[in-house]
Amino acid sequence: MGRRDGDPESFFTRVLETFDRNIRFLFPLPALIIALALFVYPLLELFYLSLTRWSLVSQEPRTFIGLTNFARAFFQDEHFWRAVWLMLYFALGALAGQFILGFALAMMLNREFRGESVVRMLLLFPIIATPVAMSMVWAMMLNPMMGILNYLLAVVGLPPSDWASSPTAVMPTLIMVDIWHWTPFMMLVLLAGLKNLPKDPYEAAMIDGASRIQVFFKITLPLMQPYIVLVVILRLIHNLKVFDEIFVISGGGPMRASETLNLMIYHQAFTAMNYGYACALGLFLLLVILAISLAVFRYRERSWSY
Amino acid sequence: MSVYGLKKITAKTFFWIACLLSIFFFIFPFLWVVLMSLKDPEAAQSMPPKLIFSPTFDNYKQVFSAGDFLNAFKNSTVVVILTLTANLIVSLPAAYIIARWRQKWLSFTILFTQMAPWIVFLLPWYIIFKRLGLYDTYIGLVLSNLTYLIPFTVWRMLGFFEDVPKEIEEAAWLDGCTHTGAFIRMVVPLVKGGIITVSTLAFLFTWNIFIFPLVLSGYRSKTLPVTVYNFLADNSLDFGPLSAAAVLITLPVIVFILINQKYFSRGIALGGRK
Amino acid sequence: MAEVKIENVRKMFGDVVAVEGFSLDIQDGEFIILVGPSGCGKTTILRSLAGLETITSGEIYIDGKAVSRVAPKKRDIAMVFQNYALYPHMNVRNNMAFSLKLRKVPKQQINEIVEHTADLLGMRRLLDRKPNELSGGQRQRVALGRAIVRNPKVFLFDEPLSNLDAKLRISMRAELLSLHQRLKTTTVYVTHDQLEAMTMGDRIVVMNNGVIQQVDTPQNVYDHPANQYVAGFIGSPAMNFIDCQISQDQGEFYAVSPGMKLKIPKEKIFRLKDRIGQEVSLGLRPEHIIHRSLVDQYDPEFSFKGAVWVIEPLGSEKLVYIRPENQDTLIARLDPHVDIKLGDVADFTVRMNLSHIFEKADGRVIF
Repeated sequence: MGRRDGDPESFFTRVLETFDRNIRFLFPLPALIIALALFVYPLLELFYLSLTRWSLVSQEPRTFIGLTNFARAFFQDEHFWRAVWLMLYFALGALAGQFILGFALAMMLNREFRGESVVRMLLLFPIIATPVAMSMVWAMMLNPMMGILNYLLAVVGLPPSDWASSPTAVMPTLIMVDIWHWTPFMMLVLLAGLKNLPKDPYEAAMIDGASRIQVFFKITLPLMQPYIVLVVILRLIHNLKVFDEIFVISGGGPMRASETLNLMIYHQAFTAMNYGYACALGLFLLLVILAISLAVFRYRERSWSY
Repeated sequence: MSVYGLKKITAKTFFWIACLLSIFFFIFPFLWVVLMSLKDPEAAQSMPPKLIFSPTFDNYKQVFSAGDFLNAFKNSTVVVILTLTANLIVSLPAAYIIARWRQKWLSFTILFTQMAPWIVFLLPWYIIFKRLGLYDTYIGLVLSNLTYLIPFTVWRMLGFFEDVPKEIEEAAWLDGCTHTGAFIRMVVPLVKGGIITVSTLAFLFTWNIFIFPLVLSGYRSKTLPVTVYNFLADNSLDFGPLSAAAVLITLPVIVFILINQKYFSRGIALGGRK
Repeated sequence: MAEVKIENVRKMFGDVVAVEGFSLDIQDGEFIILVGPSGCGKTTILRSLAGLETITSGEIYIDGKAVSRVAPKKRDIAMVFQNYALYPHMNVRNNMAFSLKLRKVPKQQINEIVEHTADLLGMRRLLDRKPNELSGGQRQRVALGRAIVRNPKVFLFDEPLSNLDAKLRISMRAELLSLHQRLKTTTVYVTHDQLEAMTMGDRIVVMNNGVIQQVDTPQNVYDHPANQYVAGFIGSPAMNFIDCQISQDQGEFYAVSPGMKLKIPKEKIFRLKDRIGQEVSLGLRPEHIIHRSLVDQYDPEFSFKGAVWVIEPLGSEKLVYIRPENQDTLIARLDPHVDIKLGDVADFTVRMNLSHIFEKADGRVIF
């Protein structure tokens, strides 16, 4: 009845059996190797490079200069702290807009209505569309001369704006685009949260005669707290890393008015070719994000409010 | 009609107006770009913008013949297929083992990789890849994508693997299956749903990613997002063809996600499986 | 078909000892049952036989071969899991055929075997269904069929009936037994239900806290329990235990307890010779307590007086809860037509020759 014990085992079979016995270590191995090769090792290289002066264009050899890059960033480079500020400004501004708009939309859509699935589907578009492409579309729409946005402003009687070409208007413009991009995501997550809320407190409030505003602040918000905290933190960190939109629409300009830290790192590395300096900036950003992640992790571990 | 009835109607109208306004706000750029892609140069530039015009496909023709585009399309497709396949091959076994032998430190590592700023990793990658001859190659691009996708996939798949009852594997072992055999024949088919969900999101990510190919690819392996950006940066195309390009690059991913909408929505919902 | 020999097996999970000093010889074709409460180690032994757990020390022999280091798939055993563990994505036919396919049995033969087994279990018409389309009892059969198709040396059953409703359980019990008559495969069966154990096993192994308490045929375990634990575990309603002191009075031995003084039958006295004055535990089975009205020759030395607290008429018998003075409640199985009412204080005779006495310290049986 087929193979039985006692058949001579070929070398191949024995190899397979050894593999099979050790899958506990062998299965995760490729993933681990990739992680080490693409994560850990590059970090070491990054760390080393951040301590060097190295220009990719000039013929000068790479020289070890210790913490000079960091000193330069912190104390000499006039744009560095500006870049940090711009990064925070963007992240928080976009977050606020996404949250308020997202929450409002979630509350509004938290009911059953005809066409619900169509609406949900349409609202997915900004999230799934290729960001570069949509940023390009926005860039075109924002064009002061030929873009449609200034036309629309004129239609409602408002003066035209230079949008991304203006040093003052560029950041709010970019924030607006990011809000457009990610609010649906925020809304979906919050909506899922709202749908998961228990009905009882609401019914009790209705019987007790609470007003809508009271219900919102005293019941909805507290019950939504875990979701809100989670999604806010995730989006905040994400917003700190936004690159595509800014890169395509303003490129960091005009005159570095929208050059967030991300953009600055890119430009230093690949435009100005100050690789060592760029790596130092990158290390700084990495540590900042690491610190925030740790804080998030600790917070989540500690606080499940109920 | 009672006051309450009137209130209800007003509320409903208000709701629908708000609904339509929001939808309009989010959909508007898509409508605009599609219209633009069909306009000839004269119609494209006219201000106030024309809503009625005779559509033309010239813009699309121009994009296709812009040399790079087809190559970029091919590259994007190849990279996506390779990445998704490699991702499953590497991540599924890893997730399976982690699910069966739980490790706590993993959660943080995975969390961190979801939060890591990729520009920072690109700096050493660029140097290392160039050194190893991986610059401007498919493998290089695939590897860069995997760095993000593997932790993500492992994290998402953990819950699915945990839900597969151990007894089924044990029954398979007793029936004569090897551990690997049981994994492939029993466990993997049972997490199919998870695989599709994760792969849908992986597709989205890989197709759309810009910053990795921006730095790591050159002429040969440039993907669509980079090519499209080049069109814009080089001023090589006007609004019309640019719009056509934007439509062409976005269309596949929108169609794909809409087809797999169920899996996508499930994937977005904050994976309550932590 | 094979003998199974388990030699001094010990299994530890981390620092916890799950099974200790477990030795058992199982004859070829025997239906042996491991019974005990949750956590007693019976499932651990079963899984160790299967190779799903590795034993810490000791050895297991199947058909003469030492298998403790052999992988499950090579041990030629089949297991029926508590939750059936059917392959959800395969239909019934493929569930049963899977092991045969792995062994590269020719397709023709597979079909024959599968269909033959399906007939045996009366499931021909279910062959193309998927597990989620089947009822609990049907899934049970498929799990069974999967095991039978293997034609293994040993069958292992892990509480297979505990997920079935009462009626189904009874009919499946009978079916399993008749199958065993036909196939005569050595079977190791695990259950926590002492009734199942009693009705199904050639021999039963009573376990507690990882240790074997007694191994014997069901009747012997019932009539001659090795210790207080087994005596209390086997039999429903459970044996009554009364704390007594052994006393001697004019040449006769008595078990004395508040409200009760019962004479020890002559033939058992020699076992209590050294225990005068000691505290022991007296065990009385409910059916050995008889109402006075049904006793031919009433002897007050073998009787006690008690108040009737609860009566449960079952039709075939009356379960009566008796409260002797200053004593815990005793349960008696009385003839259903005994004239007795709540609150009555009546005399009850005990069949002391069928009673048991256990050590107070470790529960070992004295007689």
